[in-house]
Amino acid sequence: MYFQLDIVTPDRTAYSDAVTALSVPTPNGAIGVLPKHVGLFTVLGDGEIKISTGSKELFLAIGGGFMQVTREKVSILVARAVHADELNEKAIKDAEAAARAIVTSQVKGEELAAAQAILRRSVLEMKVMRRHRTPHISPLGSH
Amino acid sequence: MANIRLIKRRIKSAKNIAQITKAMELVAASRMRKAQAVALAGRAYAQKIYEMVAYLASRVDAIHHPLLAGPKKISGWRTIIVLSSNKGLCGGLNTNLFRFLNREYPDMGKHRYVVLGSKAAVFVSRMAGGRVMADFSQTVPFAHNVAAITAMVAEEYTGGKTDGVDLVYNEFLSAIKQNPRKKTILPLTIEGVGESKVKSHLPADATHQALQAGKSKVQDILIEPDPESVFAALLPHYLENQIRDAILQAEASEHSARMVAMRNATDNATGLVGDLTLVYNKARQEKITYEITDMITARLSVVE
Repeated sequence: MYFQLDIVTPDRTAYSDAVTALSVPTPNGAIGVLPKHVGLFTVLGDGEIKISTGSKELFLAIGGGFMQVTREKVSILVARAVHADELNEKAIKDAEAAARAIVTSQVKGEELAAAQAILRRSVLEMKVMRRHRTPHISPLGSH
Repeated sequence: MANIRLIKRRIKSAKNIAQITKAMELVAASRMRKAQAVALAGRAYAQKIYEMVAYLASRVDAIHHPLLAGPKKISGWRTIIVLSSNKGLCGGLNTNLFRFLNREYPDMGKHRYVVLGSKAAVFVSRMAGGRVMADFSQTVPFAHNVAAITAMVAEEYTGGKTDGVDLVYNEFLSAIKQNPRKKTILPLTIEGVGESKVKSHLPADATHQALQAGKSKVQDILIEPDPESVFAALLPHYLENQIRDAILQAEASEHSARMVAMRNATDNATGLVGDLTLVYNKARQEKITYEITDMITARLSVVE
């Protein structure tokens, strides 16, 4: 059983294909979506999306957004979505830059918050990247 | 001959014009490429979020968020956000938009306006003087105004000062085609979205009543964590996104229109140079012939 999944960010359509299962992060914990899921609308937090296409699993690091589940398809709108295989040394550099920014500009609240956001993001991307390199099978919904 | 010098001068000025318009065309082309990429990239997102909000708005109770409710009292006017360009020299782009605006809102003096772009500011204050609430033309790029405009129109709407909010802008279709367009962003109308069971032209509160009537038919939809927090996050984001999308489209349209207008101007100037050169050559030849004739006549009279 497949259902249509679209992941759209303001810059691009990050993913659009038929999938068998999906796991997304929400503020109240992860939600797993299988075909014929009940209609659902939820807020998404920062985190990783896990997509199962039957043959393989994909991971995406996302920024906050929204998910809409209807009988026909699932639409995910997020501020940012990065595929695991798009992540590379850049993520490490981001993390470094963020760490440095925090150390140097601890005085300013707004900048500190921005730096923390970058740090959070790069930690997340690193996690997704590690996951991608050592794929392991985990049953869905076991979060 | 004075005539020849005159023609020469005209050729020179036509050449200068062609040079300038050519340069402007190139500038517009490079700006267009950038603006076009941004506008097209955001389009899918804007479309999706529009559908999402319409879908949700048709299925939930209006009490969850003030923006979901229909207008509190019928004030009789709408708030219209008009997006034009700051500069001219872009063909009929603004003129077409204003004609469209005039046609869509026959009595323009009744409504209230938020304008972006000094061309729109001039036009609207001429047509409906005193009804311009705000002019954001001075802050460029226009996308920096999104937050301020959103806050402003949302407050107007929830405060019951307006019946609805419309965007009027040039939709970017392609580099040579732009279309004036009106898009209603408030109240949250439900226009032709998916399997929506609700008539599109009903205002939000009527929609709500229709939903209450056929509650069992409404799709069972879960909203997590709860409707209040979902709408508190979604609706302002939706408004901002729609306004930003319109601004980006308008910008892409402006640069494309300018590029085409400048290309036409360059072509015309080059054509003019060709025509004038022909006239110039003719005049020059005439002059030479005249001089030769003159010389022969003089010689003949001397010999005799």
